[in-house]
Amino acid sequence: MVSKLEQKLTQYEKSTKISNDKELIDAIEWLLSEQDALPYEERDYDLIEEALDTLLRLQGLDVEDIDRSSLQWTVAYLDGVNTQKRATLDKPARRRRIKTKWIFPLVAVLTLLLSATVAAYAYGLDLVSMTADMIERLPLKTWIHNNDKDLIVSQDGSEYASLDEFALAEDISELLIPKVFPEGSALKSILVTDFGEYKDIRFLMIPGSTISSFSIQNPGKFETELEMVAIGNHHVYMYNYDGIYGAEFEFQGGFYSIEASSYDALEEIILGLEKGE
Amino acid sequence: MDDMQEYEVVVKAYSKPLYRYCYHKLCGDRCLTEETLNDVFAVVYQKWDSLNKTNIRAYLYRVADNCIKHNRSMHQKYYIHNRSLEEISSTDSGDTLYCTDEYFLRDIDEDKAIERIKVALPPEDFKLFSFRYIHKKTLMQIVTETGLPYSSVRLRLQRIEEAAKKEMAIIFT
Repeated sequence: MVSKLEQKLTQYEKSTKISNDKELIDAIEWLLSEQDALPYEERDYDLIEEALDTLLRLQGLDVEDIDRSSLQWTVAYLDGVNTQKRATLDKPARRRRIKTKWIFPLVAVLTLLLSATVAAYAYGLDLVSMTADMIERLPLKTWIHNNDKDLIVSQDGSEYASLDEFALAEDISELLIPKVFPEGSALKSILVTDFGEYKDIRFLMIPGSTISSFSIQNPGKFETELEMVAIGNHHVYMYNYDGIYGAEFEFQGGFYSIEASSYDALEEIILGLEKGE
Repeated sequence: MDDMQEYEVVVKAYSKPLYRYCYHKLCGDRCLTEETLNDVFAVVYQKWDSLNKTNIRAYLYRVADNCIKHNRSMHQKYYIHNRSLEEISSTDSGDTLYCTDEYFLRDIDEDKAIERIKVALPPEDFKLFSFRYIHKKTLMQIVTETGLPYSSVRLRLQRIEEAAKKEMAIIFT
């Protein structure tokens, strides 16, 4: 039986051939970032866990040793929790009484809800249609594929000739979007998720790109007590770990988050941001 | 099963995948990983009574991400992985396995070991095993001969090596 990860990678290799472990690692990292872009409830955690297992092994790490550490941590943690619990334990009989007490308010609430439902129908409110309407308002996702650089095609078949056109159609023209990516970066797809109260826009890059991630939440806020630095006209919070350079900042009510493999690429993409038309 | 037992079941079920997840995101820093896991499960413990447990896995990963972000910003220095990515061969002939030939064939009857592994593996898996360990073919040669994508060959060999390791462990005990 072919695993989920293998299926995904076979699909991936139809457009991007893999010929060594480094490219395989990049591909798996890309699959993981694709999952990261989804709402938590929609992620495939079996796939994520299988991908992580493979990735750690490909990186030459001793996964069995990592698992031994996790087991030691688990035993120590639960031991600590149980010790703490024993020290503050109530008498069991009293706890049972507390649980029983909640049944009566619960029954009262359920009765109220039932009465309200009956009353709603009596007043002519169509609850079924209202629920359906609510479901329609659930977050909508638009995948934009930019494999053909001259055309951007959305999941519903809408076509845009440029990022500007796309920005206008998606009503994000007031935001800063990357028009040109630094050398060594290429855009693979854009994921727009409309949560109603805000939109989440993610530019997913070709694996191995110097820009590894770029996302905007609009509207979005950014607050930090940590030191900010100036890059162009923007004051950003910068961080750096293990060869990854990241920046977070707010602009016109949108929260921007960018990661790159070098400071130069990070600076270049921030300086190159322009508004959509 | 009372709440505490249920909580323990959740900790035991998810600590391993979350440990790996945090370990990966925190670049191999075990101390920070364990600190993050403490934070994750402390949050879960505090909110246990009010938690919607129908999709606890999604909730755990969401909390883990928040704790990772917080801990990353608090700790500016990170350890690198044990093995640099540059050490992983990018050529088609010098590819490195994490499980070497020597592991399989040291101090034992080679034919006996191979027979045992042959019984343990499905035929198509044993074929890959023999390409790699008996005929000493490189990964790209196996890709060419089988017509499988590189990723499939790599993933299957990883799985085959794990199964073969177990058989070897039995031989040694």
